[in-house]
Amino acid sequence: MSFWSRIANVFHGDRLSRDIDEEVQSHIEEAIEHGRDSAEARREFGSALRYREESRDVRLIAWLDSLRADAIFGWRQLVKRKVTSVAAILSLALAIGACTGAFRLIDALLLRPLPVKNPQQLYALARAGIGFDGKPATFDGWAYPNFRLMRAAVKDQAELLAISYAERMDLTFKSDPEMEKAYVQYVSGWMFGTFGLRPVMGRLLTESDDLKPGAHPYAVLSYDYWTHRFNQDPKAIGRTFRMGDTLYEIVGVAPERFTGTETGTVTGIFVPTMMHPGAVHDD
Amino acid sequence: MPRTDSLQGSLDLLVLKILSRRPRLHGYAIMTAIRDWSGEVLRAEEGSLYPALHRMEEAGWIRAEWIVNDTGRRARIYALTAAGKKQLDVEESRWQAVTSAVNRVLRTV
Repeated sequence: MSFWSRIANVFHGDRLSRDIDEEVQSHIEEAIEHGRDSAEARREFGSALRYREESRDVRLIAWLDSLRADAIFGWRQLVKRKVTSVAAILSLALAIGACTGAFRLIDALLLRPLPVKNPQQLYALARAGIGFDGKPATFDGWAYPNFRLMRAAVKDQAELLAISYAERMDLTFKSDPEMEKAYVQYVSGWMFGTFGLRPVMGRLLTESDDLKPGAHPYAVLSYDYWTHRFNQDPKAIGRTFRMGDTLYEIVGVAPERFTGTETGTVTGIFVPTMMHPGAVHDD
Repeated sequence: MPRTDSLQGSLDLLVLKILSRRPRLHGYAIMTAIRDWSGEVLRAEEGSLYPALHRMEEAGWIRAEWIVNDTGRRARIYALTAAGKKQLDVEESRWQAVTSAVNRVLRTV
């Protein structure tokens, strides 16, 4: 008998048991025919059940058989106590889901670099100083004129990018009277080029989109926003939306893996820094 | 694990030997053959004979088939395989070695 037939016997356990029982039965009948007392012949086998177990174990793989029996037993228990089972399955599912969620957050926060060119050369600038309340504090915001001066000063050694926090902003699409909300990030026009990103549709912003305050009402959509707001419609390019007092034109879609620079937030719309009210006044 | 009994170690040898002389015997006939041919000295119990048969079948030394005998009863009969013939030689020479060793000890002491 081969290994496979032993595996097969695990799943034909009833037939195997019948086979063994029939052999015992045939033996006993033979014994009776040869003049043995029926009760005595039966007694010789001792416990038929134990004998069957022994013979059975030889002819199949015992551990696989117990595994099969355990699986069936487990399934019956589950079916018998439906409420408990559902509760157990649900709590397991929740726990697994929570763990997966937590891991995704950690993955995004700590493990995965921004999907841009040379992420190891990317730095975030901040100043440490004394706050208005006289306590030590860190600032990561800069006045735009300062940023201009700093960018010019490091011109040959580094590229500076101005990037706002992703803000939840109200906007309306022209044909659509309803107000909707989206995460908007003000970014330096040359950010896309510096990050080595290529458009999926249309074009991305460039330095020439970020020269004069209020003069470049162009917007780039993130792939995610393009997908869930426009269902990846190519006609989204060229559409306009109103945000504040300005009418913006959509010029392109950013690559799928680039979801903005803020961990945990998927930016929907990128607009040039020059369109930010804070960059407009020159102080 | 199969149960042990007084024939442990020699039961396989006896069964193989009997089947080599008289192929196509069922379990009961093998049991009677052990009793009769040993002059009613040796006795294989059902509880160890059948697990042994199944174990040897598993090892490929014997093979079994169901037949219907003269009295119209189904019976599972056993016959030696080629591997079983080799195993018989192995077991026989081992038995000779053991008994002669035991005899030597008995003579010496």
